[in-house]
Amino acid sequence: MTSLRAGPLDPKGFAVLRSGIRWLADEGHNCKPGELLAYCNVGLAATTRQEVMPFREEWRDLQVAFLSPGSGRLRKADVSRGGFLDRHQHHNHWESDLTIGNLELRPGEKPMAPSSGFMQLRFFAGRRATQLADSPSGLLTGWYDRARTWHADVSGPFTTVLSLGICEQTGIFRGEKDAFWELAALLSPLTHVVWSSDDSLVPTVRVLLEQLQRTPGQQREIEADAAAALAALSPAPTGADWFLIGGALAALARSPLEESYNLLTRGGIVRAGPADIVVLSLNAELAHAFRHRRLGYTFTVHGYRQVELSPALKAWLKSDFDVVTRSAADVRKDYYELIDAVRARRPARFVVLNSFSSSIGDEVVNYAAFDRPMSNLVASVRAKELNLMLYDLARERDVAIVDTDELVAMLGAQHHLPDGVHQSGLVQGKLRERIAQIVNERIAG
Amino acid sequence: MTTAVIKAVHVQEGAQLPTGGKFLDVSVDLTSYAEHDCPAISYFRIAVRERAWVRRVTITAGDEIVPGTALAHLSTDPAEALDDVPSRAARVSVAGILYQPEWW
Repeated sequence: MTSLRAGPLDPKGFAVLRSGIRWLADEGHNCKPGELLAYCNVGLAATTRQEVMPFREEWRDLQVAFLSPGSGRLRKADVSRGGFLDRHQHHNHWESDLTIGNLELRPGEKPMAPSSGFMQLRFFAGRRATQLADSPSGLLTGWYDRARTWHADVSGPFTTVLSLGICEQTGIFRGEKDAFWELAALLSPLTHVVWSSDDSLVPTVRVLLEQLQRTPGQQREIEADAAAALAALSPAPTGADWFLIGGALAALARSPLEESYNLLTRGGIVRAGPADIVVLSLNAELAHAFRHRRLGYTFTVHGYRQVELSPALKAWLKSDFDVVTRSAADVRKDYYELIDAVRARRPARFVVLNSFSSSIGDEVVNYAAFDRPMSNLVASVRAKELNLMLYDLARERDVAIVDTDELVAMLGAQHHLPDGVHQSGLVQGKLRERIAQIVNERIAG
Repeated sequence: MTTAVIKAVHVQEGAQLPTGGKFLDVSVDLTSYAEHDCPAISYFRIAVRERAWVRRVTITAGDEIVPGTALAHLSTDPAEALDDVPSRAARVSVAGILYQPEWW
């Protein structure tokens, strides 16, 4: 029999609190080593005076998962109390002798517990898009503008991998259950994985560059201008409009490329970031963006959200913004500028997912019908030109390419990328493996 | 998909279209078929694959059309009578295009 012991968490200056245990495996389940068995919410209580509390932006959504230390049939201990007591983190103290159950072995089976005798722990943290977005139904189930995970049984130094793409990266990074599980299983334990949302602002390289360079004063000017302009609209924006614009303004104020992080480990709280490896997507390079006429900032929103905007918000965008076409040359220039700006601060590795560039359903026999530059008009031509640009970036700026285009062409787009963006699980898995390989090579030096 | 919206018509009645000449742009909104997340809307350009005279255009930008709608009548001869039943569909090609700023 192998005891499922949690082991110590002892950050200096804090007591660790926890909720009851929520199970992810059934009683009697035939567990495999490293399998996710259960999780709980975790909080910190200061035992000495603290200037700034760690996890200040994530304290409601800090969770820890327990990994199976070996094989055997799961026998659960009485560690769940149900209701809010399994959701709120302040009901129990974390105690190093916490045992959540055991793995029952059959005759001839040997325990495979690690040398410490404790289960391995994996932490998860979500930063809510708004603190109102309360969705504690499971592991990382909230509406987050940023979610992340790391291993608690190493003390670092951690290599931070930042996902800055659109929905195609969400599937690769967060996986089938949105909790990074498939990717985490492929990565070195020294990896800290961060996923950034594209809900409120699409992370084109132009937007990322502006976020990197924007001063707090400029951000205040953007917020004041938007508030005044929206308040002057007739008809007035609805509550839902303010929600949407609030999310966009909050996203404009952040710079994901410059964020640093707290990580709770067995050895205490350690710092990580800003990102050592940045994963971008050519699919984020929308052909058109809004540029504010007076303040000059770029605002990018997915087309399907753009058409859903209310008349008030459309009126604001039409009166205060120009629609600018972002040519392949513009994207190229922005990429070089962004990479150079980040590398002036630190030696970051850039990884870029290219776009699927074959045409699905196109029947073009003559390109006379398309004005030049065709990359501003024909989707497949734009994808090809941007993909080609990546080879220059790879050569001149040492960027790693994740070749979605080749993979999907090989597997078949009709079955694995029917709309050109959203992949099947098989493609997500292959792309995940490639990204993990790049990350692990970087960590291995 | 049950309908499409004409975003732009690139031809005028009486004009001659060369092989490969651009004809019109349409958007297809998949949300009219089912509630759908990104990318719900696709845009396409239709071009002709043969030389033809534009004799009659029956749609304008902004029209919502159903499958099977006749968009225009083309002929190989500029003086061909239009009161006969069309002999065949025009040969066209289709390409997925990007949203254009002038549509905003």
